[in-house]
Amino acid sequence: MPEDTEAPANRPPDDAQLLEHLRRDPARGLPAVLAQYERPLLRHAAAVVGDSASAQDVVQEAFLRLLANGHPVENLAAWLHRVTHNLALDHLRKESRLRKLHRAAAPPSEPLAESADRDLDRREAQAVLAQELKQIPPNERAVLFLKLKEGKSYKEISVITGLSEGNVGYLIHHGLKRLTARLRPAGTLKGVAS
Amino acid sequence: MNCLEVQKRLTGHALDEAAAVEGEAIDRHVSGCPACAGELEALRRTAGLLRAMEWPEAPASLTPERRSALELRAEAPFVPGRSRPHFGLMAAASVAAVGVAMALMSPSLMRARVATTRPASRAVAPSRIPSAEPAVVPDMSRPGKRDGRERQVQEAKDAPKLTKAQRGNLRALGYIQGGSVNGSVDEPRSAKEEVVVTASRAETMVLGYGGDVRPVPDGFLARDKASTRDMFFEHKGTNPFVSTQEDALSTFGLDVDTASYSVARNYLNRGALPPADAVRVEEFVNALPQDYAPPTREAFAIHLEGAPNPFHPGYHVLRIGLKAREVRLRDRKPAVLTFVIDVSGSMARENRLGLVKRSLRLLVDRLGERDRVGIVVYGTRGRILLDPAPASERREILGAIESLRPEGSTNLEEGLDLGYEMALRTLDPEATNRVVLCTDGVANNGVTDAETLLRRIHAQSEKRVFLTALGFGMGNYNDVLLQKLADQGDGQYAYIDDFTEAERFFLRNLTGVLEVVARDAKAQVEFDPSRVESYRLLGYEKRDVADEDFRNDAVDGGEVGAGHTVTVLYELKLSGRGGDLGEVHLRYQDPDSGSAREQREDIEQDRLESRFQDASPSFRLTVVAARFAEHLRQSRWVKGERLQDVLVEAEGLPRSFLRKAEAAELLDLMRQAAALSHPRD
Repeated sequence: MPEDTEAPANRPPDDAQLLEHLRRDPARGLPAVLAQYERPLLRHAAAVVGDSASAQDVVQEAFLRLLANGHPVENLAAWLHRVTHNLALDHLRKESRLRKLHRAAAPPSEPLAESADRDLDRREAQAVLAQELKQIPPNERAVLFLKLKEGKSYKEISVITGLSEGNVGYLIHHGLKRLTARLRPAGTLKGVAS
Repeated sequence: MNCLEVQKRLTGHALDEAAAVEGEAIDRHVSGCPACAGELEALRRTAGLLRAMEWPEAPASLTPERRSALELRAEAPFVPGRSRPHFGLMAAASVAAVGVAMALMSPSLMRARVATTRPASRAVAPSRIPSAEPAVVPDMSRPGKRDGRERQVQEAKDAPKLTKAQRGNLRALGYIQGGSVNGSVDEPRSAKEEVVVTASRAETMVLGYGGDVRPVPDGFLARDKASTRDMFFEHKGTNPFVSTQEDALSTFGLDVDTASYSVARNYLNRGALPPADAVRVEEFVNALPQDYAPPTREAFAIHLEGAPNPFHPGYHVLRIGLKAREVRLRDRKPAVLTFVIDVSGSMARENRLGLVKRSLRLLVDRLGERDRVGIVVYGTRGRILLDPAPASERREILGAIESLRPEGSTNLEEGLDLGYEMALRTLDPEATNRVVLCTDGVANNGVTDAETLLRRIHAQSEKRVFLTALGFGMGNYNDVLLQKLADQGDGQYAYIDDFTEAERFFLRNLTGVLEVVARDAKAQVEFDPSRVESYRLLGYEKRDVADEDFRNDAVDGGEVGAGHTVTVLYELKLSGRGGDLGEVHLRYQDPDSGSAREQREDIEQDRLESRFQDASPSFRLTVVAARFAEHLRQSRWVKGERLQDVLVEAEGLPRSFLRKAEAAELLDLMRQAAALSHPRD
């Protein structure tokens, strides 16, 4: 890989510079874009698809699209995240269709929290959450990820996902409540309405 | 605000998304409402946990291959014919993206293998498939000029009859250039069949009838690719009746695995019939304790018993019972054990890790000061938890086991590598060196190719490290992988579904678990064609050995531990003439000297009882267990028979015998299965 990324040593180049560079000379501009976005996009993709190989596929495809894109891109970060997001959801849709067709017969695992009559300690709770994150709809997982791990606002998430802000809020509300419920021992759920 | 209004906004508030005025209103309500306060705190705690934890494993960077593909694309951003890719295709083709870029950019040839998909039921054992052809990966180290590109192209007439859409998409992906398909192409069996395009091992995709490109699904091609990421069982076929005139020799590797029985038990206890492919007759039979007398001098005692088959009038059942030499606890060799423990997130389910801990404690408690224990754990990464220590340092070892917590994803490959590395480092030629793998069998990180892993295990076991594969958990359980690991690692495979099973496994015969008395053990039964018209071996399909390989010591057999029993059942059609039925031959290697030994025994006529009821209770229960297994695996030999009828035969056993734990359990499972299964015709 070429060593001259031509990025200032201290401050990462801004999106406009990255794009300009990429347009002028894709081969030389690419490394700086990768340096800046490869990691966050892989995290984003992995949060949606749930495994690293698929995340790799998705992100590679997103970058391929950036390279193939002759049109000017306005907001590079949002554009990349949006493309990654959509590709990841596409990927899951195809996978789940296939899985339905070819799923091996197996009895479902026992519910996670059932055996826990006591409050789960932190690591156990996180293990439960990690499992549960695999079960929830990818859309919910993705917005939770963007909110909690990437620290994005509902508004920013709305730009990335193309969902309305209200919709983002609803998905996060729903997802977080569901996860919270899984951490409670069975039977202690409080009624929501009173 | 009332509770309902607050609850609607509570998540936003917990995440600091609520507007300031709204936030204050919520706070006011919450300060006077313990229910909402509790809810808010719970939501904040979950959010905090989620922020602090590792999310699904996210690689830090693209793999070098993918990066190279991008760089190549960047060097040539404009590709004729691809400037406006079809949206759906592009989205679908993400798996193939590397292949796309490589096929279009690479100076060296990217040869695509195009094959039709084979339905899973027709899959053959991967071990019999010649190892996958070496993947052709373009040499990325020599970026070349695009105009110098060479391609081996195959004439279009050799291409299969692809649908228009399939051809179109193959072309768009760069696999077809000017009417020729790159690489060799199999004829699809029907027009509706999907085509699998393999550009290299990493880039396989399914090209659907409609031309859509998709990743290869789990369990579809997976059996050929033998990916470790799938949960599946594998069907190895069912042995047929063989005419003695045509082939009087029956040859197979001995097997002491019992996992299939406990897997099936676990299913049944959860109220489900096990998948037919999960049931292996020989493992059901071998899970039954047998009281065969031990040998006096040789490695094996051979016990023969036969009787008319109550389920198949006109046929007989012959039982060949083998008992391996026993080794007294105080005479056993020291053991150098390396525990390789899966601590991935899935081990948190159903308290799998807790069961692992209790099981290993059982084992450690039985070890002595001459034994050594080291521990490797793996989640997202593998790491050494405990350097090999004398087993007398119980406190330290048990403390390390107790400290295990579920974490991250599953890097089985790294765990096993580290484990074998440790085992080889501490290899003691005077001791039994053994890796004890505890896992739910899912490998989702590191290795993507089971064959590579298996080959490496095999190479390691040649260096005299044995493997004990212990399976835990269910739901995403990989039976095939563990079975093969144990096979390649010269070891034993057991499935621990509960603590009782752990006790059974470790306590009933500890020396058997630790010490091997016969390596690569094989059996060959030769039937006398004048006495036996035809025979059928019940089970052992996965251990099939070619007749001519019986004395070929390069061909793997099974490893048999001290005191282990191996039970083999044959169904026979007798000719009615008198005389011995044939001979049993055993061949194995002495684990110490490595030299090959053989034993033989005549199958004398007077071993056959004239009535099934006259045979020993243990013989009768064994026949019932095998029949039960055949029902569960839907063998064609039990077609039309009701499991209820098998149960009736079992219930005819002496009361005192049925009170034995193993008999009682078997009958209980049969009743559950009978209730679950619909009568089949």
